[in-house]
Amino acid sequence: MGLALLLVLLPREDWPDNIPLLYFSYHINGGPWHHHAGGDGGQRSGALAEESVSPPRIAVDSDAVISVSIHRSTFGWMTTELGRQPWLIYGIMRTAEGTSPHVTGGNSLFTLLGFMGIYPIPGVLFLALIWREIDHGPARSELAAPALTHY
Amino acid sequence: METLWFCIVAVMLTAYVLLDGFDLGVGIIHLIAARTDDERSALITSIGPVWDGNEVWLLAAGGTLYFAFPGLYAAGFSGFYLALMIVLWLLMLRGIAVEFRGHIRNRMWTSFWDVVFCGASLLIAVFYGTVWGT
Repeated sequence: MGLALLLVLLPREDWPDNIPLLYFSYHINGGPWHHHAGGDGGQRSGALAEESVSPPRIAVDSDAVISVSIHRSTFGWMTTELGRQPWLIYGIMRTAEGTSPHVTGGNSLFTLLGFMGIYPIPGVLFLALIWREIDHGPARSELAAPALTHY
Repeated sequence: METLWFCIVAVMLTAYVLLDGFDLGVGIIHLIAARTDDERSALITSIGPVWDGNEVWLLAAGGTLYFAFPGLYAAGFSGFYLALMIVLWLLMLRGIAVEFRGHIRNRMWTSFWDVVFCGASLLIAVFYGTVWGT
């Protein structure tokens, strides 16, 4: 409703072109997918744990729960991105009005530096560990007895 | 409808507090309760399969808060911006400590990650208390 009220203030040719996508992303994200992934998915997992079910049924149910979760997170992401972009990027709202008055420039800089520091350190450690594994090579037993390739 | 969403968010946050509280507790006490490297490994192994799954409840609560109560989400996450960013860093450090600890059998290496794991778990609890208590 708020979006529609603001949109009518603009000429039709200036309207953002992704409003239908935003509309459907939002409703898919908050619609039946939610109940399926959250409630039914949990019940299915519980049923799988307690009952003796066939492997194909487990595969189908697992695929359903996983795919619904992926779809839902994707539509949620689209809602977030599409939902905020029209307001600022398409000029409906000024950028200054889209910022939080509670977050200072110092806070932003501090957290930016924090992320810049916290990512490279584990990254370097990770590379060092990978290098170490490569340097070790395969275990002697794996070299002596090659794995069977036929099943 | 608002009451229903409030209940859903409350259930998610309660589940997170209960489940990840167990993980945080293990992290906080594992330097004191476990004396040897094997005992510490056993404690970390006890949360190994579940600790990251338990944290998904926090993500689910945050996501639900976003589209059920966007005003509260915006006010909370901008009002407690710094504290929540520090919580994010501590959660990362905790995960890194669990994952990196067992890769090298070196006393200094494992002790360092034990201290990081314990300190991050303790500080997460402190910052959660600060945010939710306020």
